[in-house]
Amino acid sequence: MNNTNRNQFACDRKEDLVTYLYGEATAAERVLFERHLNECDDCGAELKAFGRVRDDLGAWQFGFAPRTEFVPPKTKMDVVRELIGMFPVWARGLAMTGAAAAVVLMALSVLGNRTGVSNSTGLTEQQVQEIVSKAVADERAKIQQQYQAEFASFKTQFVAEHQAQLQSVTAEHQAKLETVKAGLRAEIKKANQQNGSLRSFFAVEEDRSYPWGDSR
Amino acid sequence: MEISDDQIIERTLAGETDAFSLLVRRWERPIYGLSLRMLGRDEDARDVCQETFLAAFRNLRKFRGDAKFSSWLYRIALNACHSRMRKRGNVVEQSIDLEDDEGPRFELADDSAELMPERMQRDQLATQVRKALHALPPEMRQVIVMKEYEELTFAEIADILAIPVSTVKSRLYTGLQQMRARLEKLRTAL
Repeated sequence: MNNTNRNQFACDRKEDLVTYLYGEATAAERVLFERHLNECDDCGAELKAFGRVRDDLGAWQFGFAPRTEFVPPKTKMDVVRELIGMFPVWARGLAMTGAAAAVVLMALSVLGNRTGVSNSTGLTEQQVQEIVSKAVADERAKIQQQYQAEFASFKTQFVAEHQAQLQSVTAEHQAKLETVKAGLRAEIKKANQQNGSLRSFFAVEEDRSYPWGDSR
Repeated sequence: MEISDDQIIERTLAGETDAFSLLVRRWERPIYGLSLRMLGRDEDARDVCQETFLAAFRNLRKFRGDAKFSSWLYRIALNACHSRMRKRGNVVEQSIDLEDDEGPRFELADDSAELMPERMQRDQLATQVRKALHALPPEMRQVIVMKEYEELTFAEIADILAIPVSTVKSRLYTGLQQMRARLEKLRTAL
């Protein structure tokens, strides 16, 4: 540090020195500073030393920069849209109606409070409440109807899908049953045939054993 | 002809958000380099890179066209670096203590410096530079990094840091002096 302080005190042209060092001096500035370098050994030595520092700094390089994975973040509106999309139609309608009704009620209550009994439309608070209640009831009925239609459609679709599956499974089992039945019939027939042979055999034996016709 | 930064910004602001990836590809290396040399750790540099581009994307509407986009990006990155340094108390990974009376920490066997392959010598020098740079105060380090590695002009650095050009030169001069002292001490120790 003593060395650097000595230079600093000896000559106060540090800004010119770095400007010259990094090649940002104008032609005129360059000429002036080079003239100064001829007279000032300290600045000359410092310039050389800084040149070595720059060479050393060049030793620290890195091979590759890792790729930055950038995914544009979603806006609040995108998130809201996605959330809304996750709910069925009837729930969306219900939420929107609720919100709309709340806004209307709030607006009207503010107006009502401000003007006392009536608001700018000339309606009483009771009339306003009736209108809002009717609007909410109408909307509820509409949503209920929509919900029922959606449910019926889902039910039909569900039944249709499962009906087809049921028919396919039934046909499969029916075919298996028929095969088993055929096998059993064949077995029975074979058994009957064997039975017939045995009977005729025993009938002969019977005749031979009891020629006198003793029936025992 | 290559599409300009301003044109990409216009497209991004017009709703073509994927266009911003072009800016990321174009500037990720300089921003990573700046962060790595300011913080000294790859992991931190990667995080700062991510933070910088995310912040730039979110605040793109606030970007004024009168400045260069790169200058604005560098400023965001430097702020992220400073905030990270504050969080970890500006702890340097492994600093070089030049005032240590017990001598240097780098030791070479006998005359191995001459026998050492060039690549190893260069790697060792790079380590010394990295440590010497990290022992500098951040305001000097950032000026050296921007001038030496990012090759920005004095005026650009002044604009990024919102300080006069004369202050940039003065910090650079002092920073180089300190680097010289540290590196010379290490060189003689070897």
